[in-house]
Amino acid sequence: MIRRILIRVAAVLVTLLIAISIAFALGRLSGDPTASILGPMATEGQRADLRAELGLDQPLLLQYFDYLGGIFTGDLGNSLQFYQPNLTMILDRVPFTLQLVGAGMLIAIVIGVPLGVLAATREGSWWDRAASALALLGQSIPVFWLGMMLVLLFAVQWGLLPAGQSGSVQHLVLPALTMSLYPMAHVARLTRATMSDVLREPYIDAARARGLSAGSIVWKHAFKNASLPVLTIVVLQAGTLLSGAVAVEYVYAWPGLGQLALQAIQFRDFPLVQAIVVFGAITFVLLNQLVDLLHALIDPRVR
Amino acid sequence: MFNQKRRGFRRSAAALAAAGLMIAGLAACGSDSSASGSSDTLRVVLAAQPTTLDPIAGARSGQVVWDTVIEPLVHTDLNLEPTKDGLITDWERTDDTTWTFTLRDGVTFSNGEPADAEAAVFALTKVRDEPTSILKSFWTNAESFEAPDPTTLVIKTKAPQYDLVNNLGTIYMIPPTYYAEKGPEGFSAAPIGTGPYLFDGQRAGRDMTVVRNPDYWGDAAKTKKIVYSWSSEASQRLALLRSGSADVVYDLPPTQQEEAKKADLEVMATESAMKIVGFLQTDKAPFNDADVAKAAALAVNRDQIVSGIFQGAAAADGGLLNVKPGEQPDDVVTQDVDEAKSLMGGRSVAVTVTYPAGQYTNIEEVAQAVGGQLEAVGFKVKYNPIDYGSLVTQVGGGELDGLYIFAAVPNVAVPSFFVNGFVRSASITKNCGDPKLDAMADEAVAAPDKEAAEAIYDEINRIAVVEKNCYIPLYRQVYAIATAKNVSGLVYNPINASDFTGVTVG
Repeated sequence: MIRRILIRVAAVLVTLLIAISIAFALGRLSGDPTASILGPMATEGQRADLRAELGLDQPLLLQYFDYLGGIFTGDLGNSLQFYQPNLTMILDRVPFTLQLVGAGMLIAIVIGVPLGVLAATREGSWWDRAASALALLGQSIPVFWLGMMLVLLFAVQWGLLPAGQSGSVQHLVLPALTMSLYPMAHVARLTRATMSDVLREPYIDAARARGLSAGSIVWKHAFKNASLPVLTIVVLQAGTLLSGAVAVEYVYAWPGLGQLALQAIQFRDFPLVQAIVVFGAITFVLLNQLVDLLHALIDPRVR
Repeated sequence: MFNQKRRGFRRSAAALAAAGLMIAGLAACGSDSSASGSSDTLRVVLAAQPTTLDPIAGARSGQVVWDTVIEPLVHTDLNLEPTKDGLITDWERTDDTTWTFTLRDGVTFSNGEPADAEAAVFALTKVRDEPTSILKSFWTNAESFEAPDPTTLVIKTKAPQYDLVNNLGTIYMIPPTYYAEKGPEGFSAAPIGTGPYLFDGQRAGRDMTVVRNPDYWGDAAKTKKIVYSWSSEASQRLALLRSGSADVVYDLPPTQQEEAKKADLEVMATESAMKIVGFLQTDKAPFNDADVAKAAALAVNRDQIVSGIFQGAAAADGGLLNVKPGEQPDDVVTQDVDEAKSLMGGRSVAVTVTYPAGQYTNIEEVAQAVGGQLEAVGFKVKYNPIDYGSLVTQVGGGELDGLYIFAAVPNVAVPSFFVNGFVRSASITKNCGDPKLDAMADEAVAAPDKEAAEAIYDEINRIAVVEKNCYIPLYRQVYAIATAKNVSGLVYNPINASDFTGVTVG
C-alpha cells in the first residue's frame, strides 16, 4: 500500500516537473519580453539594462533553478505587464473560472445525463435519434460562434440578458450555457453508450423478471453501474473546461484565468504564462487523482 | 426500497441544487450596481485591460484611465501643440540649453502633497533614470532638472533642443513621497494625482473606477463617476453598447464601425498620429540597389490599399515626418508602374515582406496588398509574418532585410521623434544611415524654434522618402469610438488620449 502511494506521488511529481519545465522552455522560446515592455523606440542599451534587472542575462540553467526554487517556495514570480505577483493575480481570477466551469458542468450534467439515459432506454426511436443529433451538434458547433449568436439574440435583440462581463447571476447564464454545450454532448453520448451496454446485462433482465419498476431498473440498477465512466469523463472534462474557458471568457469578456492567459501571451508576459501553466498542471493532476479516488469509492474492485 | 430510492434521488437532487446555489452565490458575490447605467456614471469599455497605472513604466493602454487622475506637466490642444493652461503655465528658453518653466501655484495632489517644482523634478528624474521607464530614450539629452523655488523648474539639456516643451506633455506629475513609499506596484494599485478625477478602486480583472475630484484646481468634471471595463473582442464591445451595458466603447475596427452606424449609435472616427510605414533596409540586398528601392516605392499605391482594405477607416499618408494628422509633405512618391518596371529592367528580384502578424488592424491584408503591388512590377515576394516582439527585436538587432511593415507611433507630436527613431544612423531601424541626414537632424533639433526646424525636417523627409526611398509611407490609422446616443462631450485626440471632463450622460 505504502509502495503504491509512493509510486503515485512520484508519478505526480514527475508529471508536474515535466509540465513546469515545458512552461519554462516555452517562456524562453517566445522571445525577448523587453520589446513589449519598453516598446519599439527603446535603444538596445536600455533593453540590455532591463534584461539584467529581470535576470534574463543569467545563464538559462541558473534561471531554470531559480524558477524551480521559486515554485517550491510558493513564489510564482511577478507579472511583467501588471507589476503584481502572479499568484495573487491567478487567485483573483480563479473564482470566476470556477464559476464558469462549475455552472457549465452543472448544466451539462443536468441535461446531458437524462438525455443519454432517454436515448439508451429508447434505442432506435426518434428520441434516440434526436438525442444523438443534438449531441453531435453540441460537439460540432464552435464555441466562439455559439457565444456570439447567443449574445446577439439574448442581449442585443431581445435584451433579456447581459451581453457579457461579470457582476451578477444573469451575467453567468450565457457564458455557462455556451460552456456547457460541448461537455453536455460528450456526457449524453457516453451515458447513452454505457447505459445501452448495461441495459443488456443479465441482471437487468433478472430485475425486470422480479417486477421492478422501469424507473427503478434504469436509475437504481443500471445507471449506478453506468455512472463510473460518466463520472470519470465529468471530472476530466472539468479539467479540459479550465483550458476551454479561454474561448468563452474571450467572447464574453469574462474575467477568468483564460482572459488573463490570453493577455499574458499577447504581451509576452512569460512569468505570468508560466505561472498559469503551472497552476493548470497542478489542477489537472489533482483532478486525475480525484478521478482515481472516486473510482475507488464507487467501485470496490478498484480499491 | 421505495424510501431508499427516494433518499437516493433526494441526495442527487440536493447535491445538484447545492452546486447550483454555490455557483449562484459566488456569482452574486460579485454583483454590483455599476453595471446599470445612470446619468451620474459613464461606463467605458476599452479594448484591453490597462496593464499598469504607473505612468513611468506604463504602456499606452493605461493612459485612458490614468489621464483622468494624473496630469501631464504640459497640456496640449487638439492640434497637439503645448498650451499654458495646465500645471505649467509659462516657459522661457533662457539660453540654447536652458529652459525655465513656471508651475501653477497652490496645486496639491489629492493626498495633500504639494504639486510643485520638486515634484516635477522627481517625475522627470524617474522617467530619465528608471530602467523600466517607457520614455527613457526621449530624455537622454537631459543634463539636469532643478527646482530653485516651488513654482520654478529649470531643465538643462546637453545639446540645444527646441522641442523640449512638447516632451513635457508626456511627463505626468506624481506625488514624490507617496510614490517613493508605495513603489511602482503600490502606486499602480492606487494612483494619486492632481487630475479632475480621483481613483476609486479596481476589481481584479473586471473594472476600474474613478470619481469626480471635488477639489480639482480647474473646472470640475461634469460626470460624477467613470467605470472602465474591457473586452478584447470588438464584436463583444459593440454588443455591450448596443445592449445598453456600456455608454462608450473604444477601438472599433471598420466592420464594427459600420454596424454601429446602422444601429444608430454615434461613431467618432479620428485620424490618429499612428502611421503604418514600409521600411526598406537599404544597406542590404536587394534594396542596397537604388533603382530597386525606387522601383519598390513606385510600385505601391497607398490610396488603393486604403480604399480597398479600410473602406475609409484609414487615411493615405505619403510622408514620414509629417507627425500631425491631416498634414502631408509637399513631395511624395506616387505609384508609377511603368517607371517601376523600367527601373527593374526585366529582373526578378526576391524580396521578403516582414510584418507583425495580428498586431495592427488588417495588417495581413495590407502586407498582401503591398506584396501584390511589388510582384506586379517584377519582385518575387516572400512573406514573413512574425509576432510583434520578435519584429521589434529583429529590427533593433539589424537582423532583417527587404521590406518590413511597422507602426510609427509618436508619444510626442514632433518630427524629431521619428528622426531619432528611424532616420539617424544610430536609430532603432538603422535602415537609412546617412551622415548627411544625421547632420541635418542635429541642425534641426538645435534650431531656435519650430518654424526654423520645420524647413530642415521637410528636406530630411524629401531625401529619406522621395530621393533615397528608405521608407514607403502607407497610411494613418483611424481610431473609432462609439457612444450611446445620450452621451456627449467626449474629446478624443490623435495620440490616443481622451478628455472626459466635459462628458454628460443625458
